Amino acid sequence: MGTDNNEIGDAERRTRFVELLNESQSRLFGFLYAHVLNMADAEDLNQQVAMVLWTKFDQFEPGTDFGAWAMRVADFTIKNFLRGKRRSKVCFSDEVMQRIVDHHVTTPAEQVARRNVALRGCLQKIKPDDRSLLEKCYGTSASIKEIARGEGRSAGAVYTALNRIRRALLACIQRSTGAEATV
Amino acid sequence: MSNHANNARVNELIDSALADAMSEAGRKELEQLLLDSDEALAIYAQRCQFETALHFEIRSAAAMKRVDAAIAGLATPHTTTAHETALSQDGLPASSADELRRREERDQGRRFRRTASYLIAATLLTGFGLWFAQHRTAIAAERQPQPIARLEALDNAEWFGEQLAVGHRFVEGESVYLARGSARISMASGAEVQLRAPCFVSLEDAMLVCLEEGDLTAQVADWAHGFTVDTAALRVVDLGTKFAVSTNNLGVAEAHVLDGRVRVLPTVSNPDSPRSLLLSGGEALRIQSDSRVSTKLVADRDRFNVELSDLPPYKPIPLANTGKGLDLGDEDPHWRVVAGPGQSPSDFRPQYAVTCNADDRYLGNDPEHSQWISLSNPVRPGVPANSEFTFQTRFDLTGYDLRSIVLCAQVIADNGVKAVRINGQAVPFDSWFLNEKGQVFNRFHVINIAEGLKQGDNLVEFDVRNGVDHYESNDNPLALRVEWCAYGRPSSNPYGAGQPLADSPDFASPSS
Repeated sequence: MGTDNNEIGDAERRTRFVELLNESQSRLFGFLYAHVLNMADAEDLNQQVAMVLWTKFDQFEPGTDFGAWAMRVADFTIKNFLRGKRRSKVCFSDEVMQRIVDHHVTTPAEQVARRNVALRGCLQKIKPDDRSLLEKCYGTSASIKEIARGEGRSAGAVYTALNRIRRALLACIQRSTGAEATV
Repeated sequence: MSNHANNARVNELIDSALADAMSEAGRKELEQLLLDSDEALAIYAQRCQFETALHFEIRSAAAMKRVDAAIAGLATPHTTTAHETALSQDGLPASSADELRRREERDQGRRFRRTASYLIAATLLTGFGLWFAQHRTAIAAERQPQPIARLEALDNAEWFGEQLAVGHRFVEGESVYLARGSARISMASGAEVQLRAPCFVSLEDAMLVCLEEGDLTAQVADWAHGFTVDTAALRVVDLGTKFAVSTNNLGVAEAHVLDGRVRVLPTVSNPDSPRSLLLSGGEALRIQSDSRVSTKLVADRDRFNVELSDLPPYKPIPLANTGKGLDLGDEDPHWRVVAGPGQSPSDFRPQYAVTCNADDRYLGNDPEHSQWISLSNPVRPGVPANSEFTFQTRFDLTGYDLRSIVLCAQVIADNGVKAVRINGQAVPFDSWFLNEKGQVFNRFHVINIAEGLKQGDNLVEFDVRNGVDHYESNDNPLALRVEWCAYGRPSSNPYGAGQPLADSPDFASPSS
């Protein structure tokens, strides 16, 4: 009987953990990406961090900000990960990393969520050609060079087009969220 | 560095990191900025959050499409088998009136579901049939973007990404981000455009520029009226003028008329205001898109007025696309077929080319732009297998400076083009011959004509090859389709200003 109760308790705990992780996923992933500026690295790191969070889930105080807790706990894993990786585009000093952690932890989760909702709306407004380019660049594993070759353009031209679309989307998010940010 | 400059620099450094172009010095600079400035840190965090959110949004949208497709694939009609029906009927106790009524209701429901299922299935089948019929005939064009502008001059310019040099030919849809300095672009339509950094623009076509951010001044030739600059907040349409447009990423845009007139159309209109506004020389308008507030101003000549009349603007060269504006069966007055198979050249009688139907395997005709031409309409039964025909057209370069000419043909041919000549001189290009079973003719091949041009009348010829038909014997279709992109600078400057072309340091011939 005791074993059954423990199993039920574990199952509930797992479910609760997955729920909390899902709720904070976007915020946490953005935080991890800020340390590596590389989507593949951020994904690998995300998996490692999720495992660590699960092993330390006992230390999480229910009712507090799970995302903020997760970002604090992820700190050591990120440093450890960066030591073993060289493909990340940036590798900041401990001081900068701490500033990134502090900034993310104090940024309200609602602000991130509001910007994500705005992004969804802004994506509806962009031109079909721009949407198609985003789908190729973000939705597939093709490299920019491969995409450029397929489009009969230079890689530089594709990067520039991507940059223009990003700027337009950022400006749209800015307008939608009432210019709360400074980008 | 000011806060604004800091913020711009953080964005630039992030851009370069995303483009795999960040140097070690750039990394250190970014690190220092993140250390020194809370604002820089906030921008960095937001950009990272944006990148990952965009990644998730695009990927989840793609996943949803796949789910939709999978569900559509499973959408088979529900029908009850005879066995299932027998079992269910046998299993029903029919003793009470209530039970009978319930059974009747269930049966009605089942009949309704069955009928609905049949209807859905029929609709799906009909839809699929229609889709299949359309898909079979709708062959999409494969074309390369056309050249639409030339980078004319630079002043302390630095581009994001690829560093563009004077003489760079922009193609339609190309986007550029000028990070520093200024740049001048000559549009093929006849608009001269000056960009001032930081500036993001997309050159959509020769008559439309989308300005995402920055300052742009345009001087528009008489023949390019209608040239348009789009921003998120407003659209400025030239009506014979020199004007400037400025916009930022907060949705504020301004239009300044330096000379002549423009029509300004706010993208978000206020129901109490007119949908467009005419502005004359010396007037300006500022629009804040989110608050829908527009303010009339005085044009800021000090800020926007730059010299753009020192070179003659480009002017389109009138050249006839095949079959443009004609009905099927019409002779194309601009295209002739002057040689064909025979024992001797005199055996073939020259004729005007005829606008013909698009065969099943051809890209569909588009009368507004171009259509297929051949020797007769319909294109079948066609001409002898393994034969060759010469199509020719003429154009006039009187008044153009030959060194400035950009002449580009986009060509599809059933079955291929063996040779092209300009005024009798061979044009270098990779000839092609497409004669596979079920061959589709939808891909435009680009042929640039850079040499051999002359003042006045010019003659261009295409030797078109016919292959074999894999399904029928001997005669089979032969057809040609050509779309031109041609422009050059007039020999004399319509603005009556500036130096002669030969002395212009930035001027280069198309072949250089």
